[in-house]
Amino acid sequence: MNYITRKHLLGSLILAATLGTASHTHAMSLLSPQASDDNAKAVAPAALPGGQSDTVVLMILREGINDTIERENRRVPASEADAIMAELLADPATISVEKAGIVTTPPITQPGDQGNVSAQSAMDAFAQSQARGPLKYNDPLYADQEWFDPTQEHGLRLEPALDRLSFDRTIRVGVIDGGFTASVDMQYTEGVNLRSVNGNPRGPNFLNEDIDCSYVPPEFELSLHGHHVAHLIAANPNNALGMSGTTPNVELVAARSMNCGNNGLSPDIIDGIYWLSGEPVDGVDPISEPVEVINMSLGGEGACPAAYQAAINSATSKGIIVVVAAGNERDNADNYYPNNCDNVIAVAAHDTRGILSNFTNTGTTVDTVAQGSLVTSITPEGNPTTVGGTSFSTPIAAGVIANVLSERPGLSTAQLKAMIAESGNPVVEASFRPNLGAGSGILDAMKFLDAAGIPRAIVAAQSALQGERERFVEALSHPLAQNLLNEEVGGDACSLVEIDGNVLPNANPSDPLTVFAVPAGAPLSPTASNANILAQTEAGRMIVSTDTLDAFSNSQFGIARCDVTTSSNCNQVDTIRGFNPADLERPAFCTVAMR
Amino acid sequence: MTFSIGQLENDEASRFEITTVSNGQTIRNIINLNATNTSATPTLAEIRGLQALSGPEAVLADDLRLANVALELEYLANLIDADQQQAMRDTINNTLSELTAELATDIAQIIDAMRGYERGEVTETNLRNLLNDTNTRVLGLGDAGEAILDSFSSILSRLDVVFPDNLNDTFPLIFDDNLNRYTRFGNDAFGQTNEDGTFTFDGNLDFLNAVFTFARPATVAVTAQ
Repeated sequence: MNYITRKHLLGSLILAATLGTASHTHAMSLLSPQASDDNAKAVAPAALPGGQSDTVVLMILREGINDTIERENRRVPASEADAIMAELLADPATISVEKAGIVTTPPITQPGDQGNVSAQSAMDAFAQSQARGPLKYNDPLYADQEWFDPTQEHGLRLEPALDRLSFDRTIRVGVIDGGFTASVDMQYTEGVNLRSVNGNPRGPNFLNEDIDCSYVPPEFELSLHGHHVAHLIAANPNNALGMSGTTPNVELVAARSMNCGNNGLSPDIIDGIYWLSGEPVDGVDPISEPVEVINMSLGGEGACPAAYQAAINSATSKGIIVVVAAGNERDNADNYYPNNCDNVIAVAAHDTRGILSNFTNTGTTVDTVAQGSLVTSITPEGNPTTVGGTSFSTPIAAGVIANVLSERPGLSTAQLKAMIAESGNPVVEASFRPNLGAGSGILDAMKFLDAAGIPRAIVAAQSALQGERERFVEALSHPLAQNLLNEEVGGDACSLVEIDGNVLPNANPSDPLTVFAVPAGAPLSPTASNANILAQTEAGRMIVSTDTLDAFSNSQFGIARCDVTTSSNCNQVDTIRGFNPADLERPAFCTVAMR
Repeated sequence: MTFSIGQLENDEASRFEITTVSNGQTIRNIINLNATNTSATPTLAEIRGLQALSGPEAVLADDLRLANVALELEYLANLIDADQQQAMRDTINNTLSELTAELATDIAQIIDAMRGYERGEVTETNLRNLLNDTNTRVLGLGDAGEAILDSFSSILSRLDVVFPDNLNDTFPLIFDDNLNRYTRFGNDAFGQTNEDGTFTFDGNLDFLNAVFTFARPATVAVTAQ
């Protein structure tokens, strides 16, 4: 028996007035894992032995002593379940009784997923990958993991975000799933099996290799769902093997709550949440240390069960962030749990064009969107493959959240949701793809880190629409804003460059900041006789137009923070820096949408 | 069978066992009656909105976002320099720090009171009174937001964003049920709420569609299947 404090549940529990022996707070139905056309290889729940369909598990919450809630899972004959529920509810101490539903992880491929990418789109993507330049990691599949790529027009831009983080602190991420396998490209720090079926007891053996999955008929594939989810978060980066995980310094903890065929029972999922949170769970040793992020790439149809909400509330009360998949039914995400539970961060999926994935659920409960179509991963044998589903957009988002928490520990779910609300880029709307709500849109890791107060590197010069100003790019590039800028400075926001004197920390801040040009090949000095002063300010930063720079062809450019009239304090070590306008990155908005 | 419940100050839960005999068979039924104090629902929703805030300054998030956009435009347009921009940021932060500290205390108190309400220890009336006090504080922050936006009225007018002189009286800073956030910009006078929970500003205020993340984002049309 396990206990949680009562305050975790209050406010989330609604007992409807019910009559008769079917009294329970929430009826969960058996779910087909996917729409039939998306599920050719899925293992239907009833197809697997060990489902014990002649029995059901009742999830019971009772008022305990000292303002706690007592929880119990009780397996009962299905034919007697309603009567037993009525008996339990007759006890005034009973808070809720729910029949445990079957929860599924969907197939790892989504038929028809982005199957309509045109040859031209593929060529564009290839050209984009060629233009990317040196790669951060040497893992063979890294170049195919678009969510790292800063040149993707509709992507996460994780690579430059990683450069802003120290990763001095190891972060622990828990994955509730099934189908975990040993891998040469990542290590599980610890894990447990919570799914007791067909002679596989609860305990420390959670890898497929250590579980008797012989009950899965040969025509069905053994689940590898958790393998892919775990690798997307924690595959070792820069080891010249396989792929790169989103979170470099991570301890991955596996809570195997699903069976060998992608199905699980709610009590095992809920026990996964409690175990990862450091709560005692029957049948397994306690976790060595609670995780900071929990990934749940699974779900079922219906309202959020009280037992789920109690477990999630218990986790979030300890500061643990719960990240969940929006679901793959191409339906209203608000009708699927745990997406619709309170205190979770819900993730939908987009394809490589920035369009919502063909399968993804959307809805008002969705917080953000990450790539979930044609997601590069590796097989247990180390071969490249692609997977699809919100199951895989979720660990990408969870990994980014873990990265932020590694630098800013203690951020609450509410704070992270507020930051994510400021950190999206619009999905590409398509008439053939309904959008019932996609939160703040496609998660942008650079904006997310801005919102978390993690500073960007100071550079001498960059586009005026880059840096932390990116969060306002839509407004600053609105036609009315462009008109205003044209009137004042003779160009739109894309034509402006910001010069930052803070790149010279040893300079005297009371000295003026100067932009200058000298002929190519000449010493880079603002006081040279052939130097042209292009702009000057007493402030620490300034805006100049690219037209100003373009007027000096065959020149080299520099900034100086010193007295250029007397040469006082002017030296190459502390107060002068060069920059090349040709190297300035232009925001995707400027290069694609406008130019 | 009729159950009548009078005026409530809290939710009430009761269970009844009813035994009926029909054709010699005894049938037992359990009735769970949860009497929800429905008049408290909007009060609780509003308090949960406060509880979900990332911080007390979040009630002014929309005013501040618009002000920040205006401030960036002034800087990009060389109407102010970087030092003046930073000085304005500091002024705004200093103005808000005292007000938000007081609101943080209010929010902590009312969340405690909500928990007391859920335990049946605090009445709806007392909870509502506390919320009114908190909302008075929020309105005070709304006045500060109005003053901040006033300082950008010149550049905002060039973006077709013109507010009345008495902005906080005309469009007070309130908890907007439709947008599920504290804002003054969800008013019908500005535009309409969409089915997906976003808001679309009317054409004359189109600039605001590009400012706020809760506004329907600009989209790129795709015609290919």
